[in-house]
Amino acid sequence: MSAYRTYAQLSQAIASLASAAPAVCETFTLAEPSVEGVAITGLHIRAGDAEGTRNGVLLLGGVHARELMNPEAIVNLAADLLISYAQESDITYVVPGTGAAGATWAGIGIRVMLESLDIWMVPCSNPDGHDYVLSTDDMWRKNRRPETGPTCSDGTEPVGVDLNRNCAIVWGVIPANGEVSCDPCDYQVYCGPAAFSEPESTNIEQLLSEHPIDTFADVHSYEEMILYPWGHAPNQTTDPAENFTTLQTGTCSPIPDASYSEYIDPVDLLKLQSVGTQIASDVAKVRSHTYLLQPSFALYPTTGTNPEYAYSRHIADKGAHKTYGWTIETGPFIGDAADSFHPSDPSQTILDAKAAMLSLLMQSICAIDLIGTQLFGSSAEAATDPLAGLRTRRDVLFQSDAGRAWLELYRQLHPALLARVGADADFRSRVARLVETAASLADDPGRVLSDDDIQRGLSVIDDLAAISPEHLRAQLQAARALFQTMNGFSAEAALAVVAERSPS
Amino acid sequence: MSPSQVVDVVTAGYEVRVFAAHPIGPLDPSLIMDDATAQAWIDDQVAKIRSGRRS
Repeated sequence: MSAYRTYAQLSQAIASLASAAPAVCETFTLAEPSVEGVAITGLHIRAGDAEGTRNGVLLLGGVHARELMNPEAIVNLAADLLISYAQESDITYVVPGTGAAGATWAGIGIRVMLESLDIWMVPCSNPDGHDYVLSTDDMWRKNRRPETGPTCSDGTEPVGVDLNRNCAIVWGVIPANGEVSCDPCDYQVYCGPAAFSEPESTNIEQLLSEHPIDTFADVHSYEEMILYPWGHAPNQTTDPAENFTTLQTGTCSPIPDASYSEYIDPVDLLKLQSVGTQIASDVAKVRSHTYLLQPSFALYPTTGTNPEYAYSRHIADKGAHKTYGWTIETGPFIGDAADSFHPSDPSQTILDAKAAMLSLLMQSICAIDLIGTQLFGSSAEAATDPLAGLRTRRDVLFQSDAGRAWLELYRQLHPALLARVGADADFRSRVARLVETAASLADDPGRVLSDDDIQRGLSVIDDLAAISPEHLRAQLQAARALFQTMNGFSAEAALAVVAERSPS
Repeated sequence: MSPSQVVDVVTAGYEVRVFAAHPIGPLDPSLIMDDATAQAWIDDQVAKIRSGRRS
């Protein structure tokens, strides 16, 4: 099976897709060519007429040269999205004969996705390494930087930097039992002479700096895993002072304090886990493969990786946009490393990878943000974010078990909500009024829910119940019953109630 | 090291890991898409996009 394209063929594919759908997407060239001078291209998908800032998603592949399935998966996913949008058709991934029901994304959901997100795809960020795998060494992982330094013990000259060890997040620190090296002769995980020494990794830093990317997936192989930060130390949620900004970088030695744990905001941790759980669930629908969700550190300790760098930016620089980052490790191991990196038939693993990315894309849409943007204009245009009060209240909910249960209910209702919002202008307008009311309640402590507010809310709940999965209807009934009692409630009073009483 | 020596070492309480060296060489050429196949894929996808109502 001729499964893998050259870099030139991959580039031609995305250029042709962009030419076929010029109103929906365009190619872009990353800031720096590769070490060997190859222009690195990506695809930016943004459909519809809605102006202003949208949630941004970055999908990255081919960082490690030998992981050949993932550039294919990203290019194929781009085609699936564009075909679905053009034909108003569903996307379904199912493997015949597996007994699995398959994973389906409704066409209306894809439309909402493309019309509400900025999707940045870089299918192959390491073109030199990619083609070197095809032409010379099928286990090559790094880029093709000729390194200065003594000849290696096997008589070869040192070549290449691991582009997933080269980012400015605890760069050049070698965790105990970790997979990082300061040795230019290391075949696998040399971190480079400096953070962002390589044009291919600088490109990712520039993308994250130039565009408000909210969610980011770096797609690798082979494990069947969803990984979230951190990679350099175990996570802890109690001591914000114990964080990476205090660590010395470039030491080529472990973190001096062996008991060091990295702080992660507990609300962020829940979001990373919640989204990761849904990704794993959506992948499992394809062919019942279980992708394990865990922190990167649990796979093996690392520093300088792309997803951790992306998530670290807003901590290192308070003005930077917050980006939630995951590594999607497609798999599985099939008895031999080379065959696992580039199996002769990758088609089923590519379905897993595409389902994982679609899941992340779908979860990157926030119906409330979407409606809020249409109501108030983009946050970039407004002097202040009109939904800031609502976001703060939402974060409060994350802090109680019952609050998290409500947010989980909202997450599960989200696909149905989005589909209805996209298809029904009257429903969208009623939801918009609710969002407006909620934003007003959140911003004004003296504002209380009126009977009209309650009736409008109940009508939306009823409409949502009619199109929701059966197993969520009891919880919606609980929501209905609770909401009915909130006449005269301020935002604080309503929050206090839902923080105490879960929907189930 | 022979298999029987490995058994002796393991019996003595050591852990033995055996790695098969992977010879350096290019990807199996049969796995690499030729230009005609790559172009056929493009043509198929582009036709589907252009046949849609929102193309």
